[in-house]
Amino acid sequence: MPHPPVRRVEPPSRTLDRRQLLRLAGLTGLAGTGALSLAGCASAFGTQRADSVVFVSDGGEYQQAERDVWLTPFQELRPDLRVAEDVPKNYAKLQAMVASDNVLWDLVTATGDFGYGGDRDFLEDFAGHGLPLDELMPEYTNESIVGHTMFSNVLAYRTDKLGGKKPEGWADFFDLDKFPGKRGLRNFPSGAVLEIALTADGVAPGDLYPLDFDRAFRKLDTIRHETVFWTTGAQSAQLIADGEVSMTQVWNGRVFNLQKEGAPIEIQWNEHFIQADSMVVPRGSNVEHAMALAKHCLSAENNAKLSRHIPYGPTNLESLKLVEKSMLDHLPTSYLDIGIDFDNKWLNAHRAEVDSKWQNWVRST
Amino acid sequence: MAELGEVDMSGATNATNATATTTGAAAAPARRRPGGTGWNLLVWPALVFLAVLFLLPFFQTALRSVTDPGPANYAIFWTDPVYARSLVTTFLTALVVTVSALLIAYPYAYLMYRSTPVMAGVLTLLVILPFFTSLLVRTYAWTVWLQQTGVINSALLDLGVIDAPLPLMRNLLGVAIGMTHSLLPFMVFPIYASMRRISPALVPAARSLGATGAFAFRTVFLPLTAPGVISGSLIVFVMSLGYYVTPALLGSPNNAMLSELIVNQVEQQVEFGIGSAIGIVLLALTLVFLFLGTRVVRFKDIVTGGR
Repeated sequence: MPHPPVRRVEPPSRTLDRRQLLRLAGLTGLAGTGALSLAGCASAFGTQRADSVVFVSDGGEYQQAERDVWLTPFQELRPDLRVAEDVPKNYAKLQAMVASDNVLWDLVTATGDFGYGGDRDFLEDFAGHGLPLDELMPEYTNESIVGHTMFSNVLAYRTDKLGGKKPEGWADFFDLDKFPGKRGLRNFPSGAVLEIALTADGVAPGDLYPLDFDRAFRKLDTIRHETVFWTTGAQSAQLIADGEVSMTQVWNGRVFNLQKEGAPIEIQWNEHFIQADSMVVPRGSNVEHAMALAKHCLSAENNAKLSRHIPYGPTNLESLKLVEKSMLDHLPTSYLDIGIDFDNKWLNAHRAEVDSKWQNWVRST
Repeated sequence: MAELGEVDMSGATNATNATATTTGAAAAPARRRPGGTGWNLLVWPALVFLAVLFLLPFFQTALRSVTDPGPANYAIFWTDPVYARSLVTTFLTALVVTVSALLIAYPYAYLMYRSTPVMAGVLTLLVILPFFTSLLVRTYAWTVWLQQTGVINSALLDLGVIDAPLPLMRNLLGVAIGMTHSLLPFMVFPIYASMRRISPALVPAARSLGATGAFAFRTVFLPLTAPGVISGSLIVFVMSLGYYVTPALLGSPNNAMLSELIVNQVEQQVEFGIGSAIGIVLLALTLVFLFLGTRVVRFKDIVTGGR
């Protein structure tokens, strides 16, 4: 579900020449991505864009759950609108749409550090649209993002490969003598991997930022020869399910599905890194419809429903009381006391530096 | 995600096909039948297709590489060691794939050449069979075979041949295996085509003059297949340079090819300018190699297999 955050392209108000360039691209139907150009043609041919609201998420079981609990009921409530979907979310595409004045997405899922700082130039503000902003967890909400679902970066381990021992946290993840076997880590710099290394090295949660890159890489170097890097959630699940790795960093929902299938895999919730998926409304989209749909998804009653289908928790504090009891053990919201938060503002402000340092480390031998 | 290399190359292959068609049509007037000029019109859909879907985006990419925000985009090859290193990896991988494809394809094509027509048909089918499944599925299938807990390692461990799993993927070996597999047809067919054109009388003639079988093969047969070998090698080498899916799934981050870095720049960093610059550098180097190749073999022969 989480998607790499991105650096921003210039918003339309700043550089006209780039905007014209992009518009030219839109006109000739040759914008960078095929989907964008195809959709561009569709809007040029006058499909009823004004009456539709396009929801964009990550596909798979996650978007299926969102469809079942949010989109389909909303469509029934609002027969005057056409509720449509697109997949997958892509911040580069979102920013290109706004910069070229050809916005085809209305309510888009965003993860991690997207939606802070300069990103906000591409996004509408949520204030004044009747959303239950007071009820939402303040950590994952600002003027242009509203957190809607919580998930977590957890340590998952094979119960059959560690000689009956149980890892207690990330320090054990880096202890190859005590816990033999390969490790899985996400090949993505602002998706917890650096924070995991620092935590394993003894840095307290409150002292993680500003990130000490050298220290993190020194720690990562100690297990690099035994580490397999993954890029998609499906890959991480496959690595641990096949026993390619004995421990991996993974999104908690993926483990839940493997456990349902009977795989010998457990989660160590200690020191899990909490993240929220939020909603953003691209500047120049069908704002009114997007806000109506966002309001629908975030109500205490509806926000609680997603966790019936997939083990991700609600961000509406009122919803927590409505969550099904049988799911509580699997939700990150039940382990907030032993979890660690990202500093998304810091990560957003240092995105280019973080990426450059990571690429240089991970691409070197 | 589309295979960048395949998309690019299909464009390039179409371009050369179109060129071949145009020259063919231009060279034809002597034999032109009444109303023959109408046939020239048939080339227009291809030309329009290429202009709209290949040339225009190409110029846009080139323009963006120097304007978004400026030509300094190209400096990344000097300032960031990752890119120069990846450039080396990219060409090294392409070289390894080309050589291994050649070593497998030449004997295979020779077997096809020596087989009965029915057997040759079966062998042809076996080469093109992989094209009937998607690249992604084929690549994942290789994962099932090559990973630590995969079919090969499990079998070898069970048989007691090895004590620890062999590193068959997440390295250059895995990438080379996957890419060689999917590019093999592009090597087999040009070589087979050049073999088919050799008069069956030539080798027996050499033998009748006293040459041993090996000598006749080396001095008569092998040189005559050189155009096929060179065209096959060029096609495989050039296609390898732009591969994305296979190295991303079977390789590891420290042997990433340039295509992966382009994706990182565009999708994750939203640096269209730098992404374009990397693409242009890759294209320019590819053209240099094509040019060097055409010093050895005529360009037309690359697409026709020396017909």
